[in-house]
Amino acid sequence: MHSIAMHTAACLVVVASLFIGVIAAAEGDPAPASSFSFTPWTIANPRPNLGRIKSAGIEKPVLKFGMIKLTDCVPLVAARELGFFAEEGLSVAIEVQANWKNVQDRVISGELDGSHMLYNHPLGVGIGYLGKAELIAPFNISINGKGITASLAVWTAMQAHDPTLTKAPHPLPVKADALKPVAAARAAAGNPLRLGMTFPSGSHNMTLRYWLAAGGINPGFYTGLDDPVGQKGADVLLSVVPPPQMKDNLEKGTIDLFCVGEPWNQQVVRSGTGVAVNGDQYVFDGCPDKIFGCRADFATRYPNTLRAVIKALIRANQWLDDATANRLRACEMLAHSSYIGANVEVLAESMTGTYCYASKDDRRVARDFNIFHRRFASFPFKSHAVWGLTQARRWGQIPESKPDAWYLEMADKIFRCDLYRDAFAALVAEGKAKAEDLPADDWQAHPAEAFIDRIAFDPKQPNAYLARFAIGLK
Amino acid sequence: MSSMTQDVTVETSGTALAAAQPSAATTPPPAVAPATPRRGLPEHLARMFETLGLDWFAPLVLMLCGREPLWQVRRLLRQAGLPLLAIALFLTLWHGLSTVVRISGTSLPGPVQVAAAAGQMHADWRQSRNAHAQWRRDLIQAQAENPTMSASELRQIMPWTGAPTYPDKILTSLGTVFTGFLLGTLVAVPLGILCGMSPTAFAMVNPFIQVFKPISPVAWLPIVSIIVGAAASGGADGASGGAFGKSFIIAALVVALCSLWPTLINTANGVANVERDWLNIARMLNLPPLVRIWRVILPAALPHIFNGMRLSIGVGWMVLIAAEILAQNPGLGGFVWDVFQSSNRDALALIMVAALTIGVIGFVLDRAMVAVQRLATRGTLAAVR
Repeated sequence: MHSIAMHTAACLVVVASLFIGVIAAAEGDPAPASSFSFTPWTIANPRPNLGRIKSAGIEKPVLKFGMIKLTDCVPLVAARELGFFAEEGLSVAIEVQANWKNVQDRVISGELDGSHMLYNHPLGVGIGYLGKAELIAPFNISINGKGITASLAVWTAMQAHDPTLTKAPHPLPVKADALKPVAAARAAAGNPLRLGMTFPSGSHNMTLRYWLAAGGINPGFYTGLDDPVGQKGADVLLSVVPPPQMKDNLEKGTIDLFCVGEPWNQQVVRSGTGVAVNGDQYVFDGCPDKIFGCRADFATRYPNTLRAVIKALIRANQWLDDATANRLRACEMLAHSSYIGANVEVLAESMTGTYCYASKDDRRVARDFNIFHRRFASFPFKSHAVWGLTQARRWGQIPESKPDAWYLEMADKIFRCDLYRDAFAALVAEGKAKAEDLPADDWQAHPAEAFIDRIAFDPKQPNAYLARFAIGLK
Repeated sequence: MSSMTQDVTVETSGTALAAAQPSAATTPPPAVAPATPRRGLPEHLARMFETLGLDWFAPLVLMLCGREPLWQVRRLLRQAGLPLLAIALFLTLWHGLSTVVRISGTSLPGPVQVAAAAGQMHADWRQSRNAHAQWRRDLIQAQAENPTMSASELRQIMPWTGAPTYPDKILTSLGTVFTGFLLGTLVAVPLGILCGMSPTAFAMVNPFIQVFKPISPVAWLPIVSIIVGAAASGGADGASGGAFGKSFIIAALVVALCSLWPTLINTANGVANVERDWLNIARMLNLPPLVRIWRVILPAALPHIFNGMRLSIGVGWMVLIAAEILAQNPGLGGFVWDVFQSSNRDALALIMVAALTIGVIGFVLDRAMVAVQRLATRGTLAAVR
């Protein structure tokens, strides 16, 4: 009796779930036939030119480089995939890293021979901020390429204070002036705005702070070389969020606004949960962003290897800015699961010279968003270092005021134009680069028009530059 | 699996040795069993399959050999048919739900999408195999062009630099979990024997067991990674990584720290419950302590020890994924995290494939431990029975 009842019950469950399954399959939206983006890029393992190892005196032909899942890691990826490294006799493995701290630690420890890094990484450890080590930047990966994205709630609040923002498309640049009353209201309510950036001594942190301060918002000061928080006197609270987690945190409400590279801004805009407020070409056009960084002793121990690496990277950057078709191919490379693994059309958004701001339909031309080769983008200008150092001083990561000479000396030591020029000369000799693509001067001044607050930057006078900011240490 | 609850009672109470063999009793009670059991090749084969944990094959073999086919069909239906039916039911329900439930604009990936994701991963893998084959051809050609260089020299200067594929990641994970498990066992078994033999030692070790056992891998990880990081940064210079990378060591140590407790406790229980008579005989024969451990205590406690090890490897495998995610070890945990971070629209399906892989491997590991346990404790069990 008992077992019959059990069997009947079991049969009923079977029939019921089959029924539910069939009904649901019939009534629900038909599942997309195949939602898989086909990534045509086939990962290559280009054959290294072994003859080159001997003829160029390559000391270390097998290298491991790190990258973070951001579109601007692309020179490393392209140099590997297109065989530029291989032509120099190098076998390069590229390994995805979890966050910028990992990148810094692993380059310092020697686990990575070099890496896609923030331009501030070698500066930070050079001045002893959050650790001391000797890293160098012999190659600049890109200029510009950061986005500032706000949650829908914050954007709506900003529109309430600045009616021009309600126009579609909203005018650029968007100044932080519109954010100031929002920040004040939130602070008064005891729930200050929380903002995400990627690393304390990082380009996203500096650009976000620059934009906030230009709008009269104090992003807070660091209290010294060992303070990773930097919230002293802050109107808004900045904190570190790894790039791939920005979107998630914005949607959960743990942060209200963030500054990060791509594809993470465009992911948010596509999903309709936030608005890309500005590309950083509207905050500081020509802002350094990523570098190729390695240990200083890598350059002394393996000079020929480093020259070969820089040569391959210069060629990759040339290729990237050569044609839009190349950018598309680069996106296909990045979309591969070995690298970023995001969908190719999202990667292509910023990489091919367009950018979506308010929504995925608000697509505008943003030709200067990611620059790799044009405007001497791959040259590691010493002025990049000075600008980064002035910002580190402005926000207290450098605890005391330094003389102008100190800034120039640090820039000389860390941004190694000499290594770049050496590699570039070799490329010119081989007919693979044009001599006019090399800047004459290691220092680059930026006019007032390049900045959102119209303050010109003269790299030789860092202290005079610092004195002109209303918010910030002198 | 099904015998988990019984294992736990053994772990905590340490009852008779027979209870340590829950799986020995999994064959259904022969309600309508054949009247006179025969002993032939089919029976031996069936026994072997049962020992290896492949219970489904036993009735199949017997059936094919004509041993009470109808009875074997019933047995097979009960053993394999019901689980298969349940799996089919689950897939139907899942498929039904996936078309109804919507997450941020897209539907929950159903079995079809997950299968497609697995197919995509397989395609990636084949692509990587092709590139690997190309690399081998390149090596041969390079060898022909550089006859003065030895093959190993060539491999050193033009190694395979491709990113690890999914099977590579599975192997990394298995390597990590076995390393951690081995480390844990090497600590747990001797310590367990000591605790089982001496109540004084047990009283001293017990508080540590009680406090350390509930610490989750997430808490161990920063501790281990800071210590390993500090230890490694002293001597690190260029070449590191691969099998002995820092992240590998960290993940393996975390697995060891989290998984050694069941083995330790079960060993202690097993040793403490060795029959008094045997110990008395050993004492009477005046056996030196090491011989006493090796010849009397260890064999008697073996079923308990294996039971503990089986629990340990289960815990280790569960802990591993978390440890790999946090330590950035390029195994399955690393894969899950990578996909999670990629914001790919197929991320959910890919992660589901990984979760299924993790589950299946955990199941296989458990079965393998059962098989080893059955093989290793055959003699002792017979003696006990």
